Amino acid sequence: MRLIRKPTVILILAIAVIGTATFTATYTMRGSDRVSRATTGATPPDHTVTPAPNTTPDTSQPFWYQPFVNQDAQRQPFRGELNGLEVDPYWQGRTGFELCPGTGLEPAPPRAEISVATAPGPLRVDPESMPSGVVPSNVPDVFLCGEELFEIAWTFAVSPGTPDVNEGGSGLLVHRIRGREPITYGSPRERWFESTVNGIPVVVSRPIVSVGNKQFGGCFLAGYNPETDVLTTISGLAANEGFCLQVAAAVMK
Amino acid sequence: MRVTIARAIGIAVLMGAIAGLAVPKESKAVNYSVYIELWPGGSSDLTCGWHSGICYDDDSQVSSGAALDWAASATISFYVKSSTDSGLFSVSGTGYLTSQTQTSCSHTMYASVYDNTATWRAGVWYYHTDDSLSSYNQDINTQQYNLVSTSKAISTTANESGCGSSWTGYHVHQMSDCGWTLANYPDHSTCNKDYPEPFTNDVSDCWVSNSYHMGYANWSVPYP
Repeated sequence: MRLIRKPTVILILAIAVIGTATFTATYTMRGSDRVSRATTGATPPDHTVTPAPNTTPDTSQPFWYQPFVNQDAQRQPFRGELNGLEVDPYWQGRTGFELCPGTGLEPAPPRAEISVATAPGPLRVDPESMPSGVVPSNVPDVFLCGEELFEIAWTFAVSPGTPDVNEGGSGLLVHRIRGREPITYGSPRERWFESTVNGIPVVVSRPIVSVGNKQFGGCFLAGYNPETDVLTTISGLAANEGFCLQVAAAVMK
Repeated sequence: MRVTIARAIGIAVLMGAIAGLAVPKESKAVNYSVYIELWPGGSSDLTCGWHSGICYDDDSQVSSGAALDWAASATISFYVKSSTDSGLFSVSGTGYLTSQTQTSCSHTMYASVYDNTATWRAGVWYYHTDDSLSSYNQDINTQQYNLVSTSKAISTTANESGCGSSWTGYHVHQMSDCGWTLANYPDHSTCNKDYPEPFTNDVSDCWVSNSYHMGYANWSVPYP
């Protein structure tokens, strides 16, 4: 049996330690491996496909919503009557002179818009009564016919994380006007349904697609109260129908 | 002997480094970024700086806010520019344009900006716009490291007669909704033109720099 000299053993061990330390340092300092992916060609969404029936889309994939948008675009906007309300996207509206003969409508006095919009009355819009996460984003547009409040349009911002709202948040428009007139929101029949809010018949349009906290297309709601002669419309720009119904319940009191 | 030891140490360092680079490591998700600018929907003639509500000729009556008035005698457009740091996509997301109200004094259109996974990123209101379509989805063009434009005509200016004497001149009241970082354009107190002429009671320093974009948004999205 041949004995190995002690200095040789120490040298071998030292070299092994140096090699291991170099490996560890190199492995630790280098970044994580990237996910392998194709790198050639820029991809646009496909505007020809429509959703396969009874499939749940994978919302992590780019443009997963496009088939639903394509399908919606192929459908004609509904024109007709729902829940006693006329829906007509082609209606052009009436002028302020037609609505308020003689003088026409006039804006509320400067700096008085908010106090007029929130004052008790059939057209009142009260930000304090809105669902949590909804705050005004603008001074309301308020129009009077003589001394009488006639029309309010008020926009709001909706925070991310609000229930029934897109994970990125949403805009919101509340519009109230005296009198009954056609609803001009364009949406195919498949997205409309009838409902009731605080005893008032309403029509509601769902978003084009809503999966979890991804809503594309927004919700719309309209209701006419014959007792007060006020038409109310609610637009949740990136929200589903549950959100529009919740806002309507707070506004149409 | 010394030369042999030095070589052995060198080989050990080299082998360790090669092994450290070669051994597979756990993959980590990475994101790519998107940048988008919001541009005027009307002409580039600014008639009222940042304000909210009506831009009265008497500037002391005007409230500050997130809207700009652009003169617009004809078409109003959804106009944005986008770039990305990825070569994977020529489209950064989707603009979804809808008519909101078409009545008397409230002719209003809205454009939502979604990223390519349908997360809502920003929105913009176009007031005094007559409806020429019910809804429309628009690809937002983009290019790696280069800003490219997307412009979609959405409507024309509305005739809102009978809505008060303060409504003068065809224009679009373009109000940015959440999601945008607004540009430092003139406030209403430095730009308030009673457009068109004769420009009485003007505060007309409406210089808006050599680029007219109102603001920008950016986001990152995981690679698919």
